[in-house]
Amino acid sequence: MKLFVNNKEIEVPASAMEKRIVEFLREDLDLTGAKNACDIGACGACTILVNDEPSRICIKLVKDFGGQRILTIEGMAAPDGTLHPLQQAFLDCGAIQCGYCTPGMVLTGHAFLLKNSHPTRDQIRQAIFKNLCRCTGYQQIIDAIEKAAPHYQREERGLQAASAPEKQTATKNSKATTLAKGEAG
Amino acid sequence: MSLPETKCWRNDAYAKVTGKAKFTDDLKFANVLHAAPVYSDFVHARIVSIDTSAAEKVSGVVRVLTAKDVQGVNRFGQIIRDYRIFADDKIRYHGDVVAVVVAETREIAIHAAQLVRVNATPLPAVLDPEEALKPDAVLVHENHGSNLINTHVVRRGNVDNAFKQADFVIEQDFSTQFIEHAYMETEAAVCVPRLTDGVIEIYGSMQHPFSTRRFVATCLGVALADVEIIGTPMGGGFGGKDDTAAIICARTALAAKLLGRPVKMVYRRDWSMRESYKRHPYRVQYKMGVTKAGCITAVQCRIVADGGAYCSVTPWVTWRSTVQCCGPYVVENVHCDTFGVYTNNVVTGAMRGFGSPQINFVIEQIVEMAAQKVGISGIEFRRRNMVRQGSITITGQKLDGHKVAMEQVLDTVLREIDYEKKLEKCAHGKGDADELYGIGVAMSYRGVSLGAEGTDFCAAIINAQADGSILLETGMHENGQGVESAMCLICAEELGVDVNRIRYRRSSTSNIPDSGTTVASRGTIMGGGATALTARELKKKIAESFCEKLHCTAGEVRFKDNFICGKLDADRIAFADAMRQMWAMQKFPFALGTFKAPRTTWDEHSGQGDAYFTWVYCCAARQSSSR
Amino acid sequence: MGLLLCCQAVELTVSRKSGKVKLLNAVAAHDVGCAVNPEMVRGQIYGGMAMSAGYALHEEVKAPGGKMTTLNLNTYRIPRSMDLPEMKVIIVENPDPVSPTGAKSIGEPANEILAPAIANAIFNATGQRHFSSPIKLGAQPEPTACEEGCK
Repeated sequence: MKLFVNNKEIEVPASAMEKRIVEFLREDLDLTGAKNACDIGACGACTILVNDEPSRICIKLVKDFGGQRILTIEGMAAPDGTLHPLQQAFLDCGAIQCGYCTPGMVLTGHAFLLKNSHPTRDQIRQAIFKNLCRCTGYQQIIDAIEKAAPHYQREERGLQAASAPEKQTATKNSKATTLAKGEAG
Repeated sequence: MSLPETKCWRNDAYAKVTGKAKFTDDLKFANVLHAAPVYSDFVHARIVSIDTSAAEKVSGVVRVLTAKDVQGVNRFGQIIRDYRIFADDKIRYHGDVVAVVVAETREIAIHAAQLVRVNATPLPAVLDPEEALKPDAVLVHENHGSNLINTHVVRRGNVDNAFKQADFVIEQDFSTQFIEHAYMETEAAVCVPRLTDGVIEIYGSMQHPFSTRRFVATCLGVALADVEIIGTPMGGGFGGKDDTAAIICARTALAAKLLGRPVKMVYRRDWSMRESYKRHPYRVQYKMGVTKAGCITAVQCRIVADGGAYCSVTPWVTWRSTVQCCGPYVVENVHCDTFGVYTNNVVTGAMRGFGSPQINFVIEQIVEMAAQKVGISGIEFRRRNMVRQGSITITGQKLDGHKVAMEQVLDTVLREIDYEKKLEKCAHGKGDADELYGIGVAMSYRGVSLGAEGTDFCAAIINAQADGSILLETGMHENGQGVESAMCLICAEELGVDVNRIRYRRSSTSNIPDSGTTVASRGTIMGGGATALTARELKKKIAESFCEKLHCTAGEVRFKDNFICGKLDADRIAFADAMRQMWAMQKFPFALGTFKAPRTTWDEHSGQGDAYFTWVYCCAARQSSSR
Repeated sequence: MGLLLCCQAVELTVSRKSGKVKLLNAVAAHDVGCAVNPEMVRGQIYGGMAMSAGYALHEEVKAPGGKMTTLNLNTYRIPRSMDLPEMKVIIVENPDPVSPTGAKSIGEPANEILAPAIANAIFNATGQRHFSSPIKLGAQPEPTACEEGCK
């Protein structure tokens, strides 16, 4: 079985099939950004994106993800370390305190903005409803997602124009991941 | 100038937003063992025996630890040493840990933990603090003689006379609930025995590295220098990662020491919720006398705090509630009695607010009830009674030497939310709308955590390098609140250098002097104070080395824009060049400084004095050490 | 040594049918002495208000007979994004003469007064006082003819 994790093809050993995917990512792939904070899918700290949809993976097994396209927080920034505009917005808005919910929040926000790049604050609030944060009261997280929205609007316009000018990371990601999806299909 | 492009600066933000920050459970060590706690199903019981044989037979189990394996002291506690590393004589609450299973994998440890049998004689449980105070109550700690952990009083003026003179008396009982801190990261520890010298290195999710070190050393029966707590990002604390976090480190360290291998114990959420201490539930009987003119004449209150099965910091938490029992209001006649009580409920201890949330829930409702009786608005009532410049608090402390901006913050909020206008729109249960609209306000004051007796002090080390980069370390601990970032910003501003030159050194209890705990809102004031004073010390050293070259006296040297300048801007040396030259002069651009809190006074019998917090901290600590 | 002075206010509605409380807006002003890292000061206050809202309305450890049953974040209800209103923070700066940096502190005061503000707002909405936290509201009584008439 194969997984497509952060644009990389991963061959899953048979022995790992029954593992929880949160443990597989954290232990076998050393992608420790996804946190396991409740084991029951209640807190969202383990959120990753599966085919661009947020998934709380502490309650899911590796075998459920065959051929799926997975994005973890480690795949958000550019390979050279440049932050994705949404990540940068989290920094700028003071949306990070203890940082434990941050990976799940960023990915949830990313999935949401991919679908709705002109959101209201209420819509953002609704979008992160399943991710718990005990530090921030969510205010600056909502600020950050709102602040990053224009980037996604530009991305959309760029895609509509079907032009291929030099783009920022998110485009690279979404293009590559679209390809991966096709392969998996 | 010192801020980079982002308007908010944090030294750990990049690592956290990219998933690179390594929290305790993210750390990997070769040959690591995993540990899991064992609970019993008793709430209150006398232990007869603990049978670990079935668990020990499970393949992959390396050892099962109980109280008899503790080489040092099995008792633990910041004030009263009543908490056990492992329950030995009794189970006192449902979260008491009787054993820890250590195994090759976490799954095996968890599985085997269920096989440990606790043979115990059940005892009646006392779950109501008022019941616990009765003379014939079941005792949680027999040798303590009663279930009373502590009392505090405030005695001021004459309340009996004052109530007689009052036009109205408002009496009301209140209660508050247990609150879980619910930090997103549960308790976790990895303990690694250092093979070269036997020192146990601890990476863990805790708020208080120095007290953790103390407890671990005591539990293991080793010296403080034989335990090193290494700073690790922490997924939230809110006051909750003190006692329980330290005890988990102690159990894990014991396993690592006995087995000579790294051991990791990461708490499952249900273990964390079951075992970790909570915010105290309070029962408060409150009585306030007021005049027709809307002035508070007297307050009488009785506070009963459920301390749960162990003392933890109950005396300190209830002390804050006691000295703040009238909120930010001037009251001439006060009679307050506070009781911290043992029960067989979950342990209660420090939580953000530390005794204030409970008492403020009472006071800020009572003042509105009183205002209603008098027939004036709650705001007007507050104005007539609030502390102002030069006011005397209920503990007899004069508020001077700093600006008392109570009315300023009140007015700021009222203006911003347009309170008066919106108050008129409130439904008061009337009208036929489906949604009843209401607006509410509350205010408070709080003594900054500072005290005397030399315990409330903090150290900082600034170590400038030959290329102008700077290493900074303080005794404060990063809980996720950004205290390291605040220290870096303060250091940058003092030295007039770019904040990106500064690296906050990964903290270690083996490097910086014990600066107490990062609680009670003391991080920025103590750590920041120490950083500023240390930077000034370093600046003095630098100024003395370069004032001649800069054609001025040492006192005239200025630090700005990454330069060290004389009186004229033209007389200047780049900070980096200066550092290189200092090394050439064989002078270390290094400073260790401390910030000490001013002294305070407190009379435990009358509850009068300059009621600053930490004085009582050390007062209580003295009591416990003489026990 | 300085005192931390703070004030918070909250607007809400109570559903007459369900008793559900919806927070609409919250404002806080805190005298922090001097804000070293203002966004982080705001973050502390937002987070403290959120925690205090949970204290007032949602959070409760249940332990019948001393055995806890609220053992995870599904049953122990800390505030989620939808439970909270838009919040506004105003930082008041009166530098503390005893503090070398002028800064006082913010961690705890942020978390100690939104609960009573909510209790006061609920009183102003419903006419009923609540003396126990968390505040539990049932369906609100229908307006009586008298109340309608009195209006």
